[in-house]
Amino acid sequence: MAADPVLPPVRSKISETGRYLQMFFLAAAILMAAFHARSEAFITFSIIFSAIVLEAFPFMLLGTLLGGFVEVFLSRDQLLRILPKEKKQAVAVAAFLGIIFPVCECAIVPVVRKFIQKGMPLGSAVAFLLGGPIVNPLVFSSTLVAYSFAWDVAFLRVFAGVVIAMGIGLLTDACFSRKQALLPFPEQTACGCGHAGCTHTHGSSGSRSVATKIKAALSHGAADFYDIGRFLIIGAFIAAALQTLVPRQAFMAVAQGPFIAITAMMVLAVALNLCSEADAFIAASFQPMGMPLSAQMAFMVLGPMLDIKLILMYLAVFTRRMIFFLAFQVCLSVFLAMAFLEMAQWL
Amino acid sequence: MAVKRISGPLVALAVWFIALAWLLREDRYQLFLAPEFGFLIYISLVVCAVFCISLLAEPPVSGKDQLIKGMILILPIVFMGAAGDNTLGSFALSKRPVATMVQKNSDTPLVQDLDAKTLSEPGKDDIQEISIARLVRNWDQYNGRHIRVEGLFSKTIEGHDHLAAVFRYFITCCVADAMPVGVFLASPEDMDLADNDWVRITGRVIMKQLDGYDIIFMETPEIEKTDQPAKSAAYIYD
Repeated sequence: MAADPVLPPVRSKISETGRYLQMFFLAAAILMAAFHARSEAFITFSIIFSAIVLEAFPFMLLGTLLGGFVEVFLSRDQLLRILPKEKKQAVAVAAFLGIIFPVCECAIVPVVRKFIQKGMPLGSAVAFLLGGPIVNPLVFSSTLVAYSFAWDVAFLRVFAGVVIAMGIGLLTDACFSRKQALLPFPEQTACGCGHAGCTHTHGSSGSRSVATKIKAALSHGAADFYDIGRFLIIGAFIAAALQTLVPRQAFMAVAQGPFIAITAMMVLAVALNLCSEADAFIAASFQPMGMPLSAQMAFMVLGPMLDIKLILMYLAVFTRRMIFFLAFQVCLSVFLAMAFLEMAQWL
Repeated sequence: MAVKRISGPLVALAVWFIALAWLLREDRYQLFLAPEFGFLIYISLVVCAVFCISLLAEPPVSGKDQLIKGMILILPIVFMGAAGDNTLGSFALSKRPVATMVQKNSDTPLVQDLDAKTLSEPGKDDIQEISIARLVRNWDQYNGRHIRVEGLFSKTIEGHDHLAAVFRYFITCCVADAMPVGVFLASPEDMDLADNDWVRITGRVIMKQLDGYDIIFMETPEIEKTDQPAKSAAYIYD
């Protein structure tokens, strides 16, 4: 068999609307910097924006790097061998894959993108995407520390996250085909190198040297980073604006009843865009203010699954219909699960 | 003579590499991240370098889309420069509840109902100079004692014009998760102090309630202006 040609990965094109929106975003950001550079609000915004980006940046880089290696070294057959053949079992296993691939929510999107391109079943990919950042051992440890080694809180977070991830994974398999849920990957038509489910594979052929494969993996990682890194930046920008301008006391003021508190903390989780490894500390800081555990848990379970930057990053993988479905299902599931938790505490 | 086209991804990653190296110089990253997370900057630096090297051999990619992607990617670097050597100050305080790290106690009186008889002169002999971090972590040891703490000054508190605060921020991972901690006091009327000045205050600390939340309140404090101790002194790294 002839050796596979090493072709560069193709970068995806931005849609016309997307292009205008991104140009508008750039112009707004530059004008904001030009006219408000000396105000304390702008400096506060700049610090928070930079901090969110700097914290997420290495994970994004590592995620795309890992994605590049998955692309080149892991064949479709090898990937599918990890998961059981039966769909429901595959979803269940995928929800726990975060233990083997301990990536946070910023890094998981490029990894899932590669897994999907490699042929991972849709429901399993969604279960990994949603459950991965919660079952991550580092996130588990940070929850333990934030709650002064309250093991029940840490396990409850993992349990709720995994159950919701599995549920939505199964529902996705039932409601969507790959074509309905996933964006067409540009490499399929233009690259021809097989990096996105094309006809040949990198990992299984073994016909090229390791050095060539590493080079290809790095090129793919860099191209992926360039392609989806902007979603992280735009998400961080919006989150920083919200953190700068919206007083957190306002959330506390509206969060009087437990069910409104759950909703308020869910809104806060989406708005703050915190790393899943840090969010437990913020959730725990609401404890002395009388915030119910169910609301704190809603914050910790929803945050790693859905926030502004993640929604924007999902644009690089899923169709808008699928993103809307995911956002709705995640919000609904988290709310219902936490309302159940609240009522269980009453009983 | 034909000009060789430059690859957008290569330029963006190279700019990030330089920015990350700049952040590591003099530990400037500590204005955004907790010191123990410096390794994250090193990871970014290494991966950026590796990606740059891998792209050197790639054919250049350019075009309108590539330009937009690249400009968005390097946008945070502009804002990092705009932030300069500043830290979060009283503006951020106005958007966050001050944490006391003690459990709520509904028996404590409201700040608005302060009884003049409870105010007393500080006992000069047993004043302890402590950090705000130590105060909030060991509140039981200092409840009712005379202490001296140092921090950023805020002339007023959102919704409470008669209250001022001396505060710092607890940081867990990065400045985005900053949690203000500090001491409240009655707004000094005759002091030439501005928001975000560094001050040292001395007085007796007690627990009060403000809008249903516990706060640490300093009675009849002596206030003196000081120099900023260090570039990132506003932050307490947990």
